[in-house]
Amino acid sequence: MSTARTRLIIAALLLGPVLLYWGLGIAPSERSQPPKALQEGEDYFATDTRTRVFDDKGMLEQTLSTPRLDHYPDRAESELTSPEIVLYGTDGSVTTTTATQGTLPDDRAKALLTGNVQIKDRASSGATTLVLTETLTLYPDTKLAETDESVTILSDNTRYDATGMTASFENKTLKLLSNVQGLHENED
Amino acid sequence: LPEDREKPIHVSADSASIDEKSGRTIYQGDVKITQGTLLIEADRVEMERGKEGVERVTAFGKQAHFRQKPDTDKPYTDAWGDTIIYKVEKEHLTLQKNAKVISDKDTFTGSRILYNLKTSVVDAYSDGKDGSSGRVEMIIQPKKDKDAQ
Repeated sequence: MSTARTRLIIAALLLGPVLLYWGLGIAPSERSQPPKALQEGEDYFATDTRTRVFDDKGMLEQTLSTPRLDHYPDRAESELTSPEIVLYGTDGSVTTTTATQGTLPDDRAKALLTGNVQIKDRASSGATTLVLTETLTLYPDTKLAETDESVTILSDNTRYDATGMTASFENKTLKLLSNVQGLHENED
Repeated sequence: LPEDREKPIHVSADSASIDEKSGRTIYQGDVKITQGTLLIEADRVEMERGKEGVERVTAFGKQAHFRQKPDTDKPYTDAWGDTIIYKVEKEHLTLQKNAKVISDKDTFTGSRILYNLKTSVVDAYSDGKDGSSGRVEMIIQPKKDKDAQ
């Protein structure tokens, strides 16, 4: 009898910590770090945010996702870390813009994006256009974008390099403002 | 050269506007297009792209200029016109208004010229509307002179 009891105690000693660990659901190292404290002039911040904007017919029009948003009341704007802005066209196209940093005024009229800015525009036909630049002003409501820096545009078999660009993702038109180089490859 | 058509097309210009829906790109200002030995210089160029790549190039200028080496052992062919239409697949050139071609030292002028880049055949037309003499003019160099030069 005593050997059975001893076995039971040993089993309990072995399994106990494992069950406790699972029971808590998180290992010590995984416990998320406490969010950074408020910055100077900041009144609130939000982490892992995802904002969705719908049109008056209830159709999803745009989403803004960012791991961290810091709001500054005096400047009436928010600073976005690694923002991703997705615009949904009425024609079924999807325009996804990402950057290292962004600034969004409270009126949301435009977003100033900086650092490794990428716009991936996928038309309803499936054709994809990629725009690469370092800074960009994006006007979500009108689906316009502009930059005065160097820009590269890649779409099937074609590459453009230029300085300065304005783009309308609603009309699928882009204007390259200076120093334009075009490279058109033939389909193999 | 025959293999020009396989080469990528390089364009430089002051500005451009791109319409992704129609596949049309308009280049403006000091436009230069090269594709192997082919060169087009113009003030403004409309380029139409299809699934297979660039299908048609329309160059406008005072004047637009086209140049290409028909073959390794042949001199460059030069062509001018107020409008030059280059159909890439067919390798056809249409020169409109004040059209002129110099091919292997032979000169052709008229108000409209069709030039086949593969066969170097020239079809020249003149309707007199553009202030020209109303006639097609050709200056064919004697073969002997051509070889002597």
